[in-house]
Amino acid sequence: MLSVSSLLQRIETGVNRGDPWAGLMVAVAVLCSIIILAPLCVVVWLSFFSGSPLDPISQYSLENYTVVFADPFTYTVLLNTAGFSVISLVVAFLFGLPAAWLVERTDFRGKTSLFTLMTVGLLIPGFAVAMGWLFLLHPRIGVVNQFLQTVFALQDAPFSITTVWGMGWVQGLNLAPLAFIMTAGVFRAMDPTFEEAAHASGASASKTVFTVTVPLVWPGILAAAIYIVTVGISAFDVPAIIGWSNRIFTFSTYMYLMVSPQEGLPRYGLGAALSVIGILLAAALSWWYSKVQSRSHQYEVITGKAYQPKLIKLGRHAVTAWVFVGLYLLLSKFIPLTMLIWASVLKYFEMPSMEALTRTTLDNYTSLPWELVFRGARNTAILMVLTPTITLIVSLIFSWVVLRSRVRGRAVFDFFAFLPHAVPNIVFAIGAVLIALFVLRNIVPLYGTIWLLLVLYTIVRLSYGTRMMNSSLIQIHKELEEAAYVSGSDTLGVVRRILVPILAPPILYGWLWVALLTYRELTLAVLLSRAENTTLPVVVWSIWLNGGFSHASALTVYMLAVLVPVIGLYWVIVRRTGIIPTAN
Amino acid sequence: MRKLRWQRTMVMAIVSFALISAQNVDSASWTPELQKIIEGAKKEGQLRLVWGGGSLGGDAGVEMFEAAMNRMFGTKIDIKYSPGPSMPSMGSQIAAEYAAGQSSVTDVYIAAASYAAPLVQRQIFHTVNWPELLPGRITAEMTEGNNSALRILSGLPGVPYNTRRVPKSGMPNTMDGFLKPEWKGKIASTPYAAGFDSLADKSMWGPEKTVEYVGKLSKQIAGLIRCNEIERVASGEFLALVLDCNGAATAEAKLKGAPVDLMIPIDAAQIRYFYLAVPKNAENPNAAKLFTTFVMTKEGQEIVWKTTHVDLHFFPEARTRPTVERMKQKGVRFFEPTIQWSLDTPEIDQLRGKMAKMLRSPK
Repeated sequence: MLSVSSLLQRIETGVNRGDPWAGLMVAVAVLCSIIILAPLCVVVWLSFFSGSPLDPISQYSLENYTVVFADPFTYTVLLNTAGFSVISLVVAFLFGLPAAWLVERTDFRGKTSLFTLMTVGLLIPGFAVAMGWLFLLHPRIGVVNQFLQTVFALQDAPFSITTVWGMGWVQGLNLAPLAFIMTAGVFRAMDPTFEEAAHASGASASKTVFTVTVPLVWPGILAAAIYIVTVGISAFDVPAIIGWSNRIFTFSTYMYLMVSPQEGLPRYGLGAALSVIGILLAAALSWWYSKVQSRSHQYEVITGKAYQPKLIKLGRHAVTAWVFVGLYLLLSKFIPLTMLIWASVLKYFEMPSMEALTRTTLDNYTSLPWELVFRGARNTAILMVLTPTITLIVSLIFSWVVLRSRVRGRAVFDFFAFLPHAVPNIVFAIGAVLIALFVLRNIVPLYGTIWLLLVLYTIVRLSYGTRMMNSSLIQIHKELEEAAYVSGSDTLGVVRRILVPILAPPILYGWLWVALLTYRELTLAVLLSRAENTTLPVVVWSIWLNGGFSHASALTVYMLAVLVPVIGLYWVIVRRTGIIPTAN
Repeated sequence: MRKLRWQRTMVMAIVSFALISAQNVDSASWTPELQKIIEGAKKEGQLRLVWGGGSLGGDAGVEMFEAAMNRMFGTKIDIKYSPGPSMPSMGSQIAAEYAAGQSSVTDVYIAAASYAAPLVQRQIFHTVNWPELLPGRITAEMTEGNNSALRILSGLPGVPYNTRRVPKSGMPNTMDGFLKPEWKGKIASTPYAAGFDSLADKSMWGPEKTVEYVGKLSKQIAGLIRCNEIERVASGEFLALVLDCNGAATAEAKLKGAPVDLMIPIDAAQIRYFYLAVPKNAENPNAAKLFTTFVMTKEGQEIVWKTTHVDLHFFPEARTRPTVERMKQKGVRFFEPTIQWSLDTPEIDQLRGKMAKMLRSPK
């Protein structure tokens, strides 16, 4: 008969019991934290370094901070960024949250299609969507504006996408799939007991949603909100296409100008000084998130007891659901895809018209730089498989250490995991490149290889993976693991036999999303691109950046066409494994 | 009979020799220095080029260069091209790799004067006696930076404009014309104040007048686009771009049928050279030097024209030459911002940053 003390001893997590697997997981978390911190330390060091690190006459000073913070333009940029991020969040939640609820909690008949739509939506590169909206609602050439001005004899265009509001709208549409995927798993795993109790008490569906469902999924929603806001701060594509040419700068585009200027050598120090703001903001957001986590046990609904999610019947409200889905499809997919395909069949971009129709051609599809395209495709494919795999393994380790271990100061690991997301990829990449160039050159020759990209991609996606894992692990009560420990299992056994099976849905979601985010990752790859490691998005971007919008559009259409069957296969697999419940 | 057979054999031998030699007709005329480079390039067997897709035709252009260069020199060099970042970013990357003892990302660096100058100053490029490689073809006036950089094309920056929305007669031929009210909110400039650094030279407008102009222009423009985003002018999003980099993007768009044309302002005429240079940390230095030499041959310049629609106006067959001569005859004075000029005028470098900042801010 086991004594109470020995039982309690067994329940204690592996680290305290000297479990080597637990120790290994902590060691991996420590190593990854060092890898995350190293480029950030270089960034902070650069911020105190005036001029170029290569220039012998450069010296340490606070000049970069003085220049950045004394410039009124810096505050204009910060204000633009704040507005852009908040509007993006609102729009992303406007579409993403109801979509997640429809797919996971209702008998909506179009859920498989909606799920696929949300997934496919992430494939469309941000710059393509931005261009589509630009030519729709541009104040001077927007098709909608031109039509309305003609019909109603208006002097000025009634709409303008070339504002912070317009940019936020487009970015929000881009991020709605992210909001969807980050909250769908949470909705799915939720125990319906509380909702059933509410129904039994006579509460309406809407009252149940707002007073029971939303509070229960609040940590997941908060996690998604924090992530989306930081994506907005770091976003580059939409601000570059819509904002830059109209002199609306956000954090990312202003940073890009500093580290990749068109006049003189880059002043990394200025970009680094500016990025310190991002680091401080990341610290604040991480602290806030950790506060939510510390109250996580209040939201635990997955216990050792069996549960079966019950779907809410929409009834006549199904029509509203279909209208919502149709509207989202139109705004986020149909319109930008149409503009993309239109651009791909033109010799040079022009407004749709009968006359322009006579000038369409398929030359852009046949005259691509094929050797380059295949090289980029090969590298992208390798990264798409390895990045999500390693990211999710490391994310699970991080989440376990933060939420399950009793390592002192474990919250700092969560902080580290979130930091790469908050620091704009541009400067993070600069720090990593300088480390690979000057520090690791004779130790591990990563510079210019696909492996450096793999490390950076994994680090950058770690924040997403850990948010996903955290918000899912929060929902699992510790009693399941405690029962396993009491039965004699070690940490590896608990993770393998308890946590991974329960977390399979978010792991699958997470794997796919990280793969898709890798597929379209641009900023890091552009800065690290060499002949050997160029990726497909870099090829597209480079073609577009040099005036070949039609060719870039054609290549993007190819990218979409190639990936749609892969998404279709995933859709079939997840249906068969029951991840997407079918309509009753 | 025996004499006739011997004569026939001699004729056949001579014809055969001529046929074989015709495939490599210039090899006999290569200088010893060039021959050494050719042999070195053959051993290297490959060349890595990284630059923006708009430079020298990107991937398609490199294919043309590879085929023609190998044909001319009897080599089998495999050129691997990858799209790269902007010229200053590329230069910074090369400098960082040089300082770290790594091989450079590209074996050949292409840049305008202001971007090449900082690297020339740091002595990052090979010094090559280019005129000795192609005597009579490459002259001293084509080289700069103590033979570390070679001019390969003469860009003629101007104002690309939309010909559907703006008739030629409606286009001003001086820069002041774009400050008039009818252009407000309809034109663009570049985020890097392209062309205005040259105007700031004392022999042109001078710094005060240039800064004043840019300040006024900043209030006129509706936005900023890069030099090769001519599609945004062709679509009518912007009616004109004040100023572009070298006119090449406009010429290419025009050939595709885009409704654009280029106006060269008579009070802001420039010849903006692009340079090639071989970094000292290039992995394939001989192949790089051979490629650079080839670009200066007649065949090479023909490909430069095909891919960029400009070439080096020094050559008698250059198609840019008549345009330059014609404008000079009309009294237009061209300013030529060179690497040496960039190095001799560091204050212009600071001014360039100031003007770019002014254009970025709508206030």
